[in-house]
Formats: sequence, C-alpha cells, structure tokens
Amino acid sequence: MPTDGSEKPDVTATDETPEGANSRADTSDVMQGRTAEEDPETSRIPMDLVGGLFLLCVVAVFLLNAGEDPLDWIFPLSLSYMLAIIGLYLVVRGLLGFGDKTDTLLPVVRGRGVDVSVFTVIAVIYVVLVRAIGFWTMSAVMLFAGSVYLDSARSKKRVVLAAGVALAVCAAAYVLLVRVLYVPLPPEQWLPA
Amino acid sequence: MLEGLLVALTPASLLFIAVGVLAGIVVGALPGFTATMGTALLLPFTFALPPEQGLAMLGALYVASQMADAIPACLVNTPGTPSAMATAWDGFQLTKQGRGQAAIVASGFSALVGTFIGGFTFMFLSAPLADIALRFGPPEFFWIGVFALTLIGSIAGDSLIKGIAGGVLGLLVGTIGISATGAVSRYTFGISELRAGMNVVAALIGVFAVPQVLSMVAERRKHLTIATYERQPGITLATVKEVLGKPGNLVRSSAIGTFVGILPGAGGPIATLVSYNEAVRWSKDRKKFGKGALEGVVASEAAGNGAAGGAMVPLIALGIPGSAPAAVILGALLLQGIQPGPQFFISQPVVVYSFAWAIILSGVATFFIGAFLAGSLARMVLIPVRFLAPIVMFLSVVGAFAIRNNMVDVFLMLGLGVLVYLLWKAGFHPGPIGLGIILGPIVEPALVQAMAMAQAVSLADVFLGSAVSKGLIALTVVSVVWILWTNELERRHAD
Repeated sequence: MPTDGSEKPDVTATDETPEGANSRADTSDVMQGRTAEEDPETSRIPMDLVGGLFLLCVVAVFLLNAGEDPLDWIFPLSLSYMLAIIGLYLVVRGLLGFGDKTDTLLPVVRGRGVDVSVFTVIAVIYVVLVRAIGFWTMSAVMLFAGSVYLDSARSKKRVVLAAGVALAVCAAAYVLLVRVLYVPLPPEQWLPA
Repeated sequence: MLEGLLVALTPASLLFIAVGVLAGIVVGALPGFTATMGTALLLPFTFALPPEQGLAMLGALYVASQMADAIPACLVNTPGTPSAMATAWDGFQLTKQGRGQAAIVASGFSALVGTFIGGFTFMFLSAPLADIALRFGPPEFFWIGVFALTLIGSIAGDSLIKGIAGGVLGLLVGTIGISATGAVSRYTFGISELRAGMNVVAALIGVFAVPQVLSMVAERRKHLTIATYERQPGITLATVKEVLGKPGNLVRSSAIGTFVGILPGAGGPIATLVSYNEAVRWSKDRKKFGKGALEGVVASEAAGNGAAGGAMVPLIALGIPGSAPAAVILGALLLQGIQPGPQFFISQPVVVYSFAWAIILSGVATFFIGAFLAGSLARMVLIPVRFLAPIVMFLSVVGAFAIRNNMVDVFLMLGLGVLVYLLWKAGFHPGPIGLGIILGPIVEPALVQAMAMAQAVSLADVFLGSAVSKGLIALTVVSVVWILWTNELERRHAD
C-alpha cells in the first residue's frame, strides 16, 4: 500500500455513470477476479423490482399524508399517482423477469457497503452532535475519524497526519467562513460565550 | 456609453471590480454559498461608495460566482450553485478522464462569452427585451418549466422511465412545506422547521455531493484519488480553440441564457438546463453528453453567465429583478436613492453604462484569474480520498447550514443524499432528481396561479391562449418526439 506522503495516484476515477449500472457491475466483478457468468443468476437482484418497490413506499408516505383542497394538493397528488404508476410498472417488469438485473446492490449490503455504512454513521453522528458539542469540535472529530477510517494503511505517522489535516482544514475554514465571510455557524457549547 | 466605459476603467472602479471578482470566486467555489448570499454580504460595503463603484463590485461578484460555481462541479461533482448542476454532469466526467483543467478553462471561457453577450444585450437591447419579458405570466412560466423537464430524456441514462420517476420524485420533494396558494402545511409530519420547505441549495448538495462522497468511500480500496492529473502545457489555448470550434453551441447557449435571465423569476438554473437540453438536441453525438462532453460544460456555463447579464435588463429597464442576486443589487440602488425604471437610461446614463461595462470587465477578469488558477485547482483531484471525502462532507454540512442557519436543512441534506445514493445503485440517475427539485418551485406556483386565472375564463384560454404559450408547447412536443424518435433509432441500431 502507498505510504504517507508518497501516495501515487495509480488511479482512475470511480466509474459511476449511472446508466452503466450493468457495465459497472461487470467491471467490478472482473477486478475482483470473477466474471459475471460465474455468478449464479439467482444472486442477482432485479433492479426494476427494487426500484419499483422503493417508489411505491415513497408514494405511500406521500399519499397517506395528502390533503384534499384542489389548489393546494393537485400538484403533489398528480405527481404521487404518476410515481405510483411508474412504481407498479417497474415492479411488474421486475417480477416478470424483464429489465436489468444487477449485483451492484449486493456490495452495498456486504463488502464495500461496510465502508459506506460506517462513513454514513460517522456523518450522522457528526451532524447530530454538532448542536450539543459544537460545530468546530465535531468537524475536527469527523475529519479526523473519517480520514483515519478510510486509510487502508494505518500507521502512527499517518494518524498524526490525519489529525494535522483535520486541524488545518478547520483552522482555514474558520478564518475564511467566520473571520472573512461572517458566516454564522453553530456555536461551541463548551466554550464560554 | 463611452463615458460609462471610462468610469468603469478608473483605478477605483477596477479595484472594486477586482474585490468583487475575488469574493465571487470564493463564494461560487464553496458549495452552498450562492451569489445572493455573496451580494448580500457585500451590500453594506456599498453604502459609502459612489453608485458606480458599489454596483461594479456587486455585479462583479455576481458574474464571478456564476463562473466559479463550475470549479467544485467539475472537480468533485458538487455544484457550487444550483446553476452549475448541468456543468457537473459533464465537467466531473472530464475530470475523471484527467481533463479537469480543460473543464475549468472551458467553463471560464464559455462564461466569458456568456457575460459578453449578456452584458452587451443589457447595454443595447434592454428596452425591447424588457417588453417581451413582461408578456410572460404564470401559464408561460409553467410551459417553460415543462419544456425544461424534457431534459430528463437527455440525462436519464439507459432507462427513460427511471429518469421520469427521478424527475417526478424531485418535483414531489419540492412540494414539502407551506403551499404557495393556501398556506397549507404539506408533508411536514409535525416538524415546524419543515414548513419553510426543503431549501433547493441544501437539497442539491444532498443529491449530488453526498452520493459522490459515498461513492468515493465505496471505491476507496480501488481508487486512492478520484482522478489523475498531468500537467499539460498549452492546455488553456488548446481548450479555448476547442470551445471556439463549435461557435454555434457557444452563441446559442449564451443567447438562451441571456433571454431566460431576462425573464423575472426564471434565473440561472433554468437558463443552464434549457441551454444544456438544446446543446444535446443539436449535437450530432448526443450519447457523449453526461460522459464528458465539453459542449455540455460550455452550454451550461455560457448560459449561466448570459443569464447574469440578462437579469440586469428587467432590473434596470423596469425595476424588476430577474434573479435573487439582482434583487440585492436593486436594494443597493434603492439605498443609494436611485429608482431604476424606464427613465433610468436617460436620467443616469453614466451609472447604467458603467455598470454594464463593469459586468463585461468582470467576465474578462474572472476568465483570466480562472485560467491562471485552473492548473492548481485541477491538482485538487490528487488529494487522497481518505482526506477528500471527509472534507467534502464537511463543506456540504457548512453549505447546507449556511443557507438558512438551520440544522434541519443539514439533516435533510444528509438523508436525501443517502437516499439518492441507494437509488443511484438501483439505476436511477441523480440528474433528473436534481432537475425536479429545481423546477418544482417554478412549475407548481405557475400551474396553480394559472388555474386560478382559469376560474375567470377557461383552462384552454389560459394555458393555450398566448402565442408564447403555443410556441413553448410546440417546442416541448418537438423535444419529446425527438427524444422518442432518437431512442427508437438507437434501439434499432443496437438490435
């Protein structure tokens, strides 16, 4: 793994063009040393079914909380019904075996999904505790925790570097946002007013 | 007019233009910080200045922020302002291909051309265009919104139906909050902060920045950085030549942006979306859009800056601001005791023309500063993902909070971001969702107001009555038929 300060970007961008969901899955498979053909068909998830069910859940939330006054509700109700029709269409397509199937959802549940889930939890803790603890403290903690977690080659030196970067980012942002642009941000609760 | 140019070229004016440009670049480059916020921040500093210099500073900030919003859009797929949403679609793909510097230079140059066309239109054609703008009422704005929605066909990716679903979902999200007509709480679930609705900027950060961060995190073991960068001498000139190689796209986009900018209430986001849609439609190879087409970046940025100049037409000629930053500039004028309107060109021509020249000079300054910084900015992609992902998340939280100083916007931004990431994995493109979020607050009030008007006459009279409406409907039909036809041709070709 690359060492601190000498990380060579042997990298290309993440191939995340959404229209290429299948090709993305295939690329990911090839990089992991297996081909799409080796995957049993049963392990692949019909995207349309998942997407359709998700849309129907969203529509249910919106329809159950809708009112009746025509001028206030005609627009959201029309949209809800339109979304319901599309959701049903996608569910039927998925159930009948039409449409694309993908295994890109599986890594969300396992493997790479752990990284995404942990980082999301770090972000959620960050925004939830900003009010209670303070913006700058929590920002420094999130920047530090996030970069340490995402570091594949953790070492004492790199942890110290992560702490330094977190503090430097906060200091630069403080000068720019608070001192130059006068942007109001949540206060530090533990500091005297 | 010449006297206006001379006033704009005085050292004091140039100094304030430089201040405005630098502030605009900072504001535009920070996701969540808008030109409106920037002009509002600078407004108090104009109190003590002569009107020419105060207006020059505010106009420069507006123009520069419209260009600089392309920087985060191209580098980390996070639009600096809502106007840069379409820029991100192709700009970020170019960055991933190692052409980040070219994307930023193309943005700057297109913005310069857009500023020129918008600025000179403001200078020479204000009176007739302002008259046309006044013919746009709620039905016409509704049809403009519907026409802009046809862009879904170009950005939906492989699945048109999922693109439409994404657009509808975005429009639905936009209905959260107090309704514009009956002041009824919609989908607030008892949370009082939700009554103000979902802020468009915070929502767009959620739709674009958060999924991108999560995507970086998911791929971090394979990709240590989001892209590669190699220094390419002469890239600025080569990119400018490449942009000038398609003059039709450049001029058409600037003209569309200028015209949409003139329409009060439409603003930069609509201008860039309509312009991008037309760029796709007129292109011989529409498949490359969304995958790193320089024309897409050009269309969006030329229109965004054209709209900045265009927004000054109704402001100065009629006293009606064409956009939110123009409203702040109107405030600056009123604070100086100046009432803009039809007589303004006659009563204070030096103020008007020096302002127009200041806008044009700001475009020039912004381009040169942007081109100078482009190489350094493009190197940002070399920041390791382990640092970049938390930093982008931090900036997203700052941007979402700073809009209204409201933590609920931050929670909504994060929640929407995670939701869109999962949808993205299920094959739904984030683009149409963002499109719906931007267009919702324009389409719904226009629809409801038009329906209210129809209570006095008839629906057909209101929605189909004017020549403008008929023209927009025809454009929409042509656009939809064209999308279906090209999709069918591509399907046959693939078969």
